[in-house]
Amino acid sequence: MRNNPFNVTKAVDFSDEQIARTWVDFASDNGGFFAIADPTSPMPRILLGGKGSGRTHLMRYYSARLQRLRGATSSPKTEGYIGIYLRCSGLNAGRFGGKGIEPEAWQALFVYYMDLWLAQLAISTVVETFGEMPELIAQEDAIARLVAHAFDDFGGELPSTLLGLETRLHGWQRELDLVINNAAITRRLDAIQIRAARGRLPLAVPKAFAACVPDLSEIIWLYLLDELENLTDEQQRYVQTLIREKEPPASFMVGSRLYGFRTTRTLSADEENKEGSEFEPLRLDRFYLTHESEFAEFCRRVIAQRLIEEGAVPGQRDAVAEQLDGFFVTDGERDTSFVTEEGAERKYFAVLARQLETHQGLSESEAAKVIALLEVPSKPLLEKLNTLLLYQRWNTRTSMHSEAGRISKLCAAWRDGKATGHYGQKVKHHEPDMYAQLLRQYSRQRRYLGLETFITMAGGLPRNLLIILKNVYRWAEFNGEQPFHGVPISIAAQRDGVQEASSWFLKDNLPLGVEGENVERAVSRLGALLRALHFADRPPEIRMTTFSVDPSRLSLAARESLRDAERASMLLTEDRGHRDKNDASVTVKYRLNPMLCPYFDLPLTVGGTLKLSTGEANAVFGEKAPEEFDRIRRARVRRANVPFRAHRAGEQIDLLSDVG
Amino acid sequence: MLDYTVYYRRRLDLDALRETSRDWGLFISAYNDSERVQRPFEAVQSATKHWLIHREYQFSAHEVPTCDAYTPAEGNEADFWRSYVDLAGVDLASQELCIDATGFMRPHLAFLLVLLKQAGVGRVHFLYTDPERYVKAENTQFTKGPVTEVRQIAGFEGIHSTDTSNDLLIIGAGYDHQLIRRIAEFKEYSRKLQLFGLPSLQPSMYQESVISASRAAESLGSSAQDDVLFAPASDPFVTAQVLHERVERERGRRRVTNLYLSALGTKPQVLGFALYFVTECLESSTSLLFPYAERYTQETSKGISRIWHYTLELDGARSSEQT
Amino acid sequence: MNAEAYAMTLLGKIKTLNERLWEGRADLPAIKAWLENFKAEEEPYEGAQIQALYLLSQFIFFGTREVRELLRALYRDQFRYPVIEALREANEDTFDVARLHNLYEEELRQTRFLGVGSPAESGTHLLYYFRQENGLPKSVFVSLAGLYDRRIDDPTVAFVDPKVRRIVFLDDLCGSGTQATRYSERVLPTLRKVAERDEFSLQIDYLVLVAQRDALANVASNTDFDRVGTVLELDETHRCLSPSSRHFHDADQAEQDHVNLETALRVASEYGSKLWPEHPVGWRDSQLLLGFSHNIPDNTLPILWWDQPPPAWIPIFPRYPKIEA
Repeated sequence: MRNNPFNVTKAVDFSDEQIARTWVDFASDNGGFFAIADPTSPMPRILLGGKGSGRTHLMRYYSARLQRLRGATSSPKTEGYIGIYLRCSGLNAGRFGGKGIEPEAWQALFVYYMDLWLAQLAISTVVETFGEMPELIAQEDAIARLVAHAFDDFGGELPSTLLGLETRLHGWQRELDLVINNAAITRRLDAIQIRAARGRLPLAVPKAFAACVPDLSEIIWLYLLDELENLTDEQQRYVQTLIREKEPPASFMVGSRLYGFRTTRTLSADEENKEGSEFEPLRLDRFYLTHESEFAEFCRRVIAQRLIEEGAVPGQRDAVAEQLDGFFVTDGERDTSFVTEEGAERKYFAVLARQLETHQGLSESEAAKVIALLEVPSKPLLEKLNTLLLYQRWNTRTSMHSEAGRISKLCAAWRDGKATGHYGQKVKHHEPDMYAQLLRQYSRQRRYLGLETFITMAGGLPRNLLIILKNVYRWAEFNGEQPFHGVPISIAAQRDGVQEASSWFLKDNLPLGVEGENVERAVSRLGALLRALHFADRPPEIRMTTFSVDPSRLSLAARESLRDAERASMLLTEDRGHRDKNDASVTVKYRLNPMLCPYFDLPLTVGGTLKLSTGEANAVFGEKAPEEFDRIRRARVRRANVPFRAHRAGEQIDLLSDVG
Repeated sequence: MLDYTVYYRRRLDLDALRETSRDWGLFISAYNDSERVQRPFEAVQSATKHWLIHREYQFSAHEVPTCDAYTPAEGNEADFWRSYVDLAGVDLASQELCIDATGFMRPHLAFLLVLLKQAGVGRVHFLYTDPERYVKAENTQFTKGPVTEVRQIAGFEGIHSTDTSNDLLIIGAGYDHQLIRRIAEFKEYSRKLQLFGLPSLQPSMYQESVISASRAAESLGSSAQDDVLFAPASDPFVTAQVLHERVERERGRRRVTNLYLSALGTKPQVLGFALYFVTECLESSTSLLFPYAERYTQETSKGISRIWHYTLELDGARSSEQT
Repeated sequence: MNAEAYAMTLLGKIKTLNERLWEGRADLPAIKAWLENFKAEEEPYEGAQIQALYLLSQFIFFGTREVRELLRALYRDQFRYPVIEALREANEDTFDVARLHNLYEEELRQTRFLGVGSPAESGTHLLYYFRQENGLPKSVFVSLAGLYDRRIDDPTVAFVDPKVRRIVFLDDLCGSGTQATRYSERVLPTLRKVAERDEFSLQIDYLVLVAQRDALANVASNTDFDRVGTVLELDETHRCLSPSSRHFHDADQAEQDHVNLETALRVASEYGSKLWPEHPVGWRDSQLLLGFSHNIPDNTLPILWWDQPPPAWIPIFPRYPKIEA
């Protein structure tokens, strides 16, 4: 077996050298990533992104190690900043709690611990990066003393070297580690001396260097705090405090998963940091989604780079990026031969015949006449569309026969190329959905084919795209194909790979704990509802993966699941708030992450918006019993199926009574 | 030189267990429905026998034994043992102690080793009974509720380095891919290695655990795919030895900035991880991690296959020059 | 779940196995070609293919990496452990590793490892990897003939190395015990005779990677081996088509809907009887679903490995036929 070029899907599996070598910039003509998230800006930034948005990749690119590898540190002025990279998970923050000890004591200990940690990182980073500068070597003694003076009580002799300083800091950190570990057994925090005021050390180190080495005074000392989600609420408040109290030359860039970003409150008198004044947020995946063509271009380059790097395809990156579409079978997207091959009988007409007889009271021969008018034997898709048009006129006063006659004329005229804009519009509008219904009626799976489709499906998360391609590659290989060598990758491999990637996404993005269970249930219910409506006789909207809801009216449980599903990137916010003209409600539009659409057999492209009533939304997102959800789902779907009435005779459903 | 494989590891049947157990002062087992937990308990002839009841199994009061049974107070693994010692009024250090590892929660089992090591206990016995099979092969779910928290196990919180550039995470893989995934994501940036139980408890179980772990493949990343470690699923000593040798090898290549270990496989493997830790890793940049769930399945296995008796000598087996 | 969806589920599992454990030996074209076997014109019943596919999904295969690991376990757990344990017990439970290692080396020098059967058979073939994986000196490996200082029918025959006190016979599988029993009858008497005549105690072990429980028990009680041992033990539940088969227990709904023991047994035995009429479900009714990277034992269902005409049959895991000595 050849090596799957998409095996690596995470920054962590790349060495610093690989990241430097294979770096692909985003819209480099417009300044690239440095323009999107400027590391030299004194304004703190919070980088938010779903899993796989490339946030860590970017933050590592900004770190001093990478700066050195790209030769940007011959002089501090080259890039104008130094990146001090910290993974919050390295703090093992979970141990600062419990063990029979008061939260306040833990909080104070954590703050001090983090200060010591940041100070050590800052010192080691600058020494590794600029340690050879003669001015720095000459001033080592002075710098060490300046930092030591920032302590309330440094204790003992002041250090005369940076190494000596680091050793002292590490010694204190070690003492803390031992005390924390022993607390599990002793249930107390043995005498700990907190030697420096909160937040002083991370600022003191840059200041000391800047004061003693002129070349280091004009650059930004950028603390890159990644994986903020690993800190508790209280601990995040300390990070917010650092942001609020930052002083030049220090600045902060904080990276977090969406669902892990818990607070903007600080420890300073409980004040809250404000977007725009204390920090600038950047949501990477949303940024990508709003820069669609640049994102697509970026993705193509990333893939081309990967294929070249792994030896799968030879050539220049941009040239390979141009050829990518040819590696996938994409024709046959509207192929309907599977219908005509089964003979003259049409499944959808058989259904229609029964419906005409049962609900319109037509005789068998009358129904047959109606259907004959809708027939276009060589074009099953038009037949499906004609059927839909008839469903749209189902409850009018005119007879089905005359409605069918009118449709038949429109269809014929359109096929002759005569001016029938209305029918043409319908074709354009409904064709994708009708094709999906055809596939399903004939027990065929929907196809999601080609790179363009995969990029759409990735939903602004580059890692998703790599995972789709990885799975497609694996299926192709299992099928005995030779992906990226000659013959394009088959429909089957693309279909199965896409399905596997889609179900992976659902499982992989669930948050920890009960929230994860709630999100999974909510998303599964939403998917089930959308799918049922999508395949109904008369879908309420076309290409329906978007819905609108008024969150303020939902039950608490539903509101929380909705929020968590969005934070877990299962839902994308399309429109943050839209005031309805008719009443005072504020509806928010959400879209199912396209990565999930194949799992639920839904289309990728955005179409109409399904309006969910409060009762429906509570059933989908709240904690209602499965039977209750099923009842509400069935009621909604019934309205979209022949005979298009909300409830059966004798059944009373009052959706509005369900307001939670 | 260190060699964990010189520790005593014996295979018993119920009759032999009856005989051997006469030498023990106190025998402790964690209650659950499995035959492989109940039958050894019945056979043991130690001076005192105690059932410990884990709240995570969510037994109701009438489902558990009332005689010589203790339900420790809520809390973490450290609180669990503290509470038991208080309730039962026992001194774990002053008698020949045997623990049946089979039904215990993994972190609780691990913590006991730290506790005993600290109390200066030189030798402790463990039992473990292999099942004939798990009820749903590779789809067996041991963890019932979702993982609610991932953290270091009490007593296994190391002194870590601020340099995280070559952190290593070794995961003892079991059947539960949810656990593997959560651990892998908790230390997302680390290089990961998986340790599989081979020889497995039953021939098919290795294959089943590989399938299960493959469901967490995306979280494990590419490093953990080709480069795997093996240790018998029923042998804590070889497990400790394999960890020892691999970590030494890794350190020989490049400094390991922080080492994280997570034992999600069989209980003997948990003992192996914990033994390795208390022998070599105390007060170093090493931690034992665990993904905690709220609830666990009460019964996942069928039958009894083999009963193992391990004697852990906590002073470590080293050559004479170094002891 | 309809049959097609269930087949996709099985294929998904097989794909994982193929990627992770089966060394890429069963990709989709190979599986399809194999499944064609079950589409004979006179197909006796519906759904033979899905039963076959299910059995395939239950196949246990030890690849090169795993076989090597099992060979390490064989040495460590079945040989070294008991020796060390005895040494500790004889030396006041000593914990002195250096001393134990020295004592062990001495024991090892008095040991010889041999493969069961002729040099062309797998027992012997595995010795090379066994030695490599366990870092053992060449001096502890001999052929049967090389063990003796002259022809074995010579009444004065003795060991080339008079210090040898332990002989260990190795094999990959003890499936029915036939081979081990026959072999022991042929080989052990001379070994015993030499030891008896020269008045030393000789321990003779029979150690295998995988054994059927009953077969190994038979070898233990019906032969002159002092000790038998296995790394992995197959109990009755591993006879895949027996009433206690583990493969048809605790089935989930989808499985119950599409596969069952009765039909699977019919498929395996009816097709199997066309291939190997004497042993339609494996040598002496073994019914195993087991293979090694170096070969597939004939105890495994022939429908998986049969590779000789007649009839024309496309195997999914072809077996290299044994060359009879």
